[in-house]
Amino acid sequence: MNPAFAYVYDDVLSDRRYEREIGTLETELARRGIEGRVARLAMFRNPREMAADLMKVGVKNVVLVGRDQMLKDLMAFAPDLEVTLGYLPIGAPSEIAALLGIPNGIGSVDVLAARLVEILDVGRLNDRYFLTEVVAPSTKACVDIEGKYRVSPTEHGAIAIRNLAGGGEGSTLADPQDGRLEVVIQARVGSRWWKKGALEETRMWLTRGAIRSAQPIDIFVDGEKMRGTEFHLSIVPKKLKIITGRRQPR
Amino acid sequence: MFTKQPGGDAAVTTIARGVKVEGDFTSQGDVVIEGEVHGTLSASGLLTIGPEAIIKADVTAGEALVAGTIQGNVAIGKRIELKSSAKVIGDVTAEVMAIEAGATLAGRISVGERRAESAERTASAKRERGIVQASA
Repeated sequence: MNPAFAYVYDDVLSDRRYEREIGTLETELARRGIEGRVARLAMFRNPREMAADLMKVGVKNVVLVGRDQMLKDLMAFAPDLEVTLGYLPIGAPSEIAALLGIPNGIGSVDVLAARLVEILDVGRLNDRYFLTEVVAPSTKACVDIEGKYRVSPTEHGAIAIRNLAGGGEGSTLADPQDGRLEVVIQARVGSRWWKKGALEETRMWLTRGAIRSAQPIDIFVDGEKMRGTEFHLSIVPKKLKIITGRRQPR
Repeated sequence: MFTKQPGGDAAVTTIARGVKVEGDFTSQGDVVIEGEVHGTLSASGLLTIGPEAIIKADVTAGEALVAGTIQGNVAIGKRIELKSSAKVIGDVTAEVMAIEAGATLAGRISVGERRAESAERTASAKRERGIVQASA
């Protein structure tokens, strides 16, 4: 067993349908000499304490095995850990893995074994970190940028503050190594009762700012719902060490 | 792993239709505006103002292509081009100016190298003030 590696399994992987895939994965890790301790997330187990325990026994690489949501959940404290993160996506197609250049399933072991480490920026919303994006789905809230100006949709629009994200067809990849967060506002313009208007996209960047709304609004931080009227945003440059793959050029 | 986007740090800032900006807007790079801006507007690169854009602000930029409406003074370091749909209510200073037939301009025009240098100095000073304020 390699003492520098530990694997944290998503709680969904205890389901029997993943047995075979997990078995294959563990065999491949052992073949490459990077098998390590295994810890399992469970409902009543504090993931922060689990990570601290692993670090106490000399673990340098914590590899998350499971779904994107697990990675997002752990992101609330993971950037403060003095470890390198790895990710083996299993259980569902992984958007984050694709952005990090990591294939799904067994192929992800190749990326882990190559151990190409990159240091990414992470976003901060109030007192929690986020890796991917903050989304306010439909709102008239405004985004305060650098304390100098405010941007808002004139009608309801979707606001996204992106660190690591691909926006789908025609949209660009938010760069998690540029020291800033990308602000994207999508507003539908020219809608009438008989037709939907065109979807227009505003793009700009911030290093610090806030989302403010007169009424309480729902926002999603790495997929987790929060409600409020004011959310403070900033970027923490070069905060997260993570093992990535070589992304295919688009 | 993360390939740079075209233009790298100078990626274009876009203010689309259906969006309003209020305050002192500054950008180190090119800017495309199709929406509304109220306050002041400063861009170090090419500023493109689309036909439906409404700018109620003093404007400074390196270069400008205007097809929309500006209410405010305009100071451009190099070249400004007013398209036929442009409507500018305010004074314009630039090194070179081109006006298409049909454009509306109500204000004084100062064109020439010296004027542009002065405009560029004003624009730089405004940008620097913006940066100092932002980092304070």
